[in-house]
Amino acid sequence: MGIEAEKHRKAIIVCIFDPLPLDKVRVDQIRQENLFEVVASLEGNAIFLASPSKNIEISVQLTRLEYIDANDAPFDKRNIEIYEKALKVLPPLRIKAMGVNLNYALTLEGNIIAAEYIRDKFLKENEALQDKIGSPIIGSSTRIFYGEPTDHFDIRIYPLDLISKEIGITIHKHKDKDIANQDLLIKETHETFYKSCEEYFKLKNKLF
Amino acid sequence: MNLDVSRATSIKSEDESSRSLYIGIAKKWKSQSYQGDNILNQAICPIEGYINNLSLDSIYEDNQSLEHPFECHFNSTGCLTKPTNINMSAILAIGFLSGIDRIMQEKHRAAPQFFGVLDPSIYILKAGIENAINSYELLPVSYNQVMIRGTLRYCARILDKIDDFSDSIVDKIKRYVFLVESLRRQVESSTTFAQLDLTYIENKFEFIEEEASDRGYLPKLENLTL
Repeated sequence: MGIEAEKHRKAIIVCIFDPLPLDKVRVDQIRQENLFEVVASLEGNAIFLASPSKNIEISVQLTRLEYIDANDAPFDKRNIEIYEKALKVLPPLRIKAMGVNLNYALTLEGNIIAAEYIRDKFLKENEALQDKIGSPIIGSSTRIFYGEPTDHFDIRIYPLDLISKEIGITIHKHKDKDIANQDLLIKETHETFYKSCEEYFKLKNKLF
Repeated sequence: MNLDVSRATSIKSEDESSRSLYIGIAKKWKSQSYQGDNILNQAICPIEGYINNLSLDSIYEDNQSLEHPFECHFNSTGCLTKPTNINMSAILAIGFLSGIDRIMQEKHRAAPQFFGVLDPSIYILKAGIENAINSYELLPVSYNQVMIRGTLRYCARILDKIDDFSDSIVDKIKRYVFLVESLRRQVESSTTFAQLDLTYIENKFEFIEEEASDRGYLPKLENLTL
């Protein structure tokens, strides 16, 4: 069976770094760059940058930066230029890990209920399990890890609702990486992002 | 035990700080079970007539605070040592209530001053430290994990030694615990956590350690067996 419809949702890039005291972040300089319509510092605990017109948000905490692109364009067409510019106005970060999350939903042809499809495709021996539980299993979700603990994919496949036809999929790529150089960070981010996009295509074609 | 919270509506408070304290105590006891409610309810009687009417709304601020007794949703930072408008009988009653609370929980505490133990945020802080330690214990052992657990246990030990909970070191501990809890939430991956350089966190802890050591609460962590 084929895919009837697809929705691309949030693309998120996460960096984990050695603690960065947020008073070192020059919020005024970020404002002057005019990259974001909203620039807010939340009591020294977080800095929040947002561009509602571009559907982009960035939050910076002591050890974590999250870049969220909430547009609906295909992932390989997303532009992470704002992320790169934001990195350049932040103090130097000593990155220890990065991650990419791609969220999307798809509907299969043939009026198929998502929860039942995932149950039948991914739940092993579901009849035996039903016997043990004593009730029919009406749906399932699954999470699959592959790679190494320090560099892996984490795929979640789940029904958006028990009676919905939409299957939600999150592809998470995690990579432990020690990076002190900003240019190298940007290069690694591009590579990781596009590897995640490739994985998205592969899974979409092979699993569904 | 069902503390008769409705009685609080008729209790008067002449001092905002004691009013908020009573709200906090009422909420805490409402949501937990204690034995000896007769004793507690009798202890409330002397306060009547000395504390202004409390609206039921201020006691049931929101359902969440009743369901989550360790989350503080009220302001209990009023000056605990300034009961200028409270009658002596009420002072004795409040002290009696704090004593009952101590007995009921059967926990060892250093002898508190009259008003020190009435700050319920200390219980919340101690619970927060315990939760944080449990959370970090789920991570694989690493220098960072052991270091943070050790510092949290040290902070908990200081709280057991302190008589006056308006002490500045309590505020430092609160900030440190918040920092460490927030770190745990930000770094989900155990492999990454072990690789972080947490010198910044260690430096924050050293302020607490220096003050605790200078003021005789506890020796430095390296000289202590936890």
